[in-house]
Amino acid sequence: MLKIEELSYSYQDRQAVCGASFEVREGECLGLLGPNGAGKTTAISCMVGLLSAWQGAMSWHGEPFQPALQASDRGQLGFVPQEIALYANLTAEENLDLFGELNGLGKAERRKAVEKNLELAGLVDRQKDLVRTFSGGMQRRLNLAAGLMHSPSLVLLDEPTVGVDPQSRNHLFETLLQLKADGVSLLYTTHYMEEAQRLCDRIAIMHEGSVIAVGTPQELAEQSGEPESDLEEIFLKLTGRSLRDD
Amino acid sequence: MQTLSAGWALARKDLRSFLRDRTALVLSILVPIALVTVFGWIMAYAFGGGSGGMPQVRLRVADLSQSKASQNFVEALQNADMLRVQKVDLSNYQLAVQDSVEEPDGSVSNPAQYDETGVMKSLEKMVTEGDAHHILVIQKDFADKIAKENLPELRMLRDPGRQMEDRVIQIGVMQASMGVFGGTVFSDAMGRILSDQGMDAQDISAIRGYMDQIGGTIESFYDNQAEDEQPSKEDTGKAADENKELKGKEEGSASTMDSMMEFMNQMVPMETKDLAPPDRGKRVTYQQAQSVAGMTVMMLLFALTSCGSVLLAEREEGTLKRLFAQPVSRNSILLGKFLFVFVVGLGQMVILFTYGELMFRVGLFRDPLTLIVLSVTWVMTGGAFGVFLAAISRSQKQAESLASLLILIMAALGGCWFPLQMMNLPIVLETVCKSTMTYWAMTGFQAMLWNQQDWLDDKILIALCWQWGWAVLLSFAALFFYRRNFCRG
Repeated sequence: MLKIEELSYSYQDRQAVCGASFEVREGECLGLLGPNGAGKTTAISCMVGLLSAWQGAMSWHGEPFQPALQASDRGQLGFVPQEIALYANLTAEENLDLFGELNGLGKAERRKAVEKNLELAGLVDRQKDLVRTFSGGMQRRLNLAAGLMHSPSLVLLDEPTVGVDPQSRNHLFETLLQLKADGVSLLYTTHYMEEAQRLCDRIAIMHEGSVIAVGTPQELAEQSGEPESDLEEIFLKLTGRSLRDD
Repeated sequence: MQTLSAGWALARKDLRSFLRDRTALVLSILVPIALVTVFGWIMAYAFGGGSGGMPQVRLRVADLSQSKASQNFVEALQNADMLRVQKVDLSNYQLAVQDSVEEPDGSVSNPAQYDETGVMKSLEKMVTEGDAHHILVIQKDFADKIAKENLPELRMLRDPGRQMEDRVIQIGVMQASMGVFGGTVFSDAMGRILSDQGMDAQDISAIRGYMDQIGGTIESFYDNQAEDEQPSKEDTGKAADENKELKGKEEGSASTMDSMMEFMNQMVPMETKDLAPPDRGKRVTYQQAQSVAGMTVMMLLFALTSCGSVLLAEREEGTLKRLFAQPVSRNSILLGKFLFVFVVGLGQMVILFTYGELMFRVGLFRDPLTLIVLSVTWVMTGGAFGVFLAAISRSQKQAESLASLLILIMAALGGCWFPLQMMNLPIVLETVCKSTMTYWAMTGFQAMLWNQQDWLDDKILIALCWQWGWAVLLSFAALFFYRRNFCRG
């Protein structure tokens, strides 16, 4: 579906992504794991068009994919950023409506999509409230819903469960499982290994800008030579135990 | 930890943080220095002609006589402390170029001939359109009258709304008249009038002796008056008690001045013609029109820069990143900011002008089309400035500091606080003032409010062109810096 080959990106004097290659297949959830500074967010930024000066190749169903240059390429994807990227002085409904409109949905389509995604986020009864009155968990749920307004076939999620209470986290999780069941592909970055283990069909582990291992959790365990290890142990074995400060 | 030591620890933390924010540090020093410099200049030129002396008022002089006597008179006007004299170029109205000859008695034979009707029409237009508030016309028989020991008649074309300038100009013209005509012209004129009425020569001679004495006394009175004028104006900033005392003195002085002016007006015959646009409200003062336009222009800039910094707020809050990931062009995001600033600016214009009209009745809605054209233009220009500032700034805080600095300076230089016409600016500073967008916004609004011009009149069209020039320049600059600072990656 979305194929990344030899992706590289540098911030002036620092190489953030270095020849990373992986593929998100139709209907699967690919977990992109890596310690802080491994290049996960930079790789996602290249994929959603926030960064343009990358090297390598990206293709969408076999066609060249240039999200920074082609607005239509960006429209293929749903993007849920790490930050709560919502307008605090707009209501939940207005926020969703805006992202629907920016994605080219007509008025009637938007109304339907708003209803559907408010329900998905569990915010139907708070739809007329300003986002600034929401709890962190509610904002996270709405943050996810805003990325789904145009029903994308691939959603890129950059640590979508950071800082939420267990209930909201569970709700987000249920939502993602539902999306997966509906055939939506997901690219999911997280630091929570149990989330990845529960949700992801395959895992790509990034380390120092490169993808050092890709496969199902079982395949990764076998590759590591310790078939009984859990994902966290495999992760630490592959990426090391030293602290990462950036 | 005790209160004091805890407080000091927190203060040290804030100081460290402040000193490490180099932009804030530089601006905290630069802003006051820049403002003190600009306002120091402006105040000096507004109230002291740049030298700390009398306030200087611009007086245009049209010399139809072109004689030695009229040149002496113009020189005397130029030497008056309170006047900044500018001669009106009449060469376009000269009927035929010929050499005038000055006779030994001072009269001029074969004087330069002007199309007087054309000259007067042009001069009246200058006053009506606000290019000059006072024009003194020296009549063509000026030298002959002096030579024949008659008092020459002068003609003053003036904007009746410019009362403050009028008083200063009257004093200046009288001072110059006393110097040039001297005691003898006045006494000769009086003697001739009395002789014509049958008084004998001995009595006339006695009266002329008194007249010369009176002339000398009046002359020294006006010299003293000019010197006394300065402290009474300067003292207005002192304590309230002193103000009350001074106010009483000033009121008494104003009354005496009015009487003296009336007397002198009879001695220096001057025909005054008031020229004001017919639609100008009678209750409107120049200061009110200046305040409404000046404050609107300045405050709108503050509002627009604040709106423009929404771009920075979006970046800081992370929503801009999300917008960049949507299937819309980057330019459309910047366009969205422009449109937002534009709509808010127009709304604020409507509110400010409606309030100004209700409060001061300055005739803002007399010509709605001109008002709309001027408002839209200023909102576009100010909006482009606001978005440009956001595009070059790294943070909202930096944008706000830069906005305060630039807006206050541009407001002062552009005449939002004090009318530039009353300032005796050197050419360099005048050029700087005229290069600001606030100057052209003020010019346009003043031409509409005070001179009742419409948007097709030259003055407003030029002001519009300058503002649109600024708007286009700032818009392209904003786009360039937006793409460089926000979109590059």
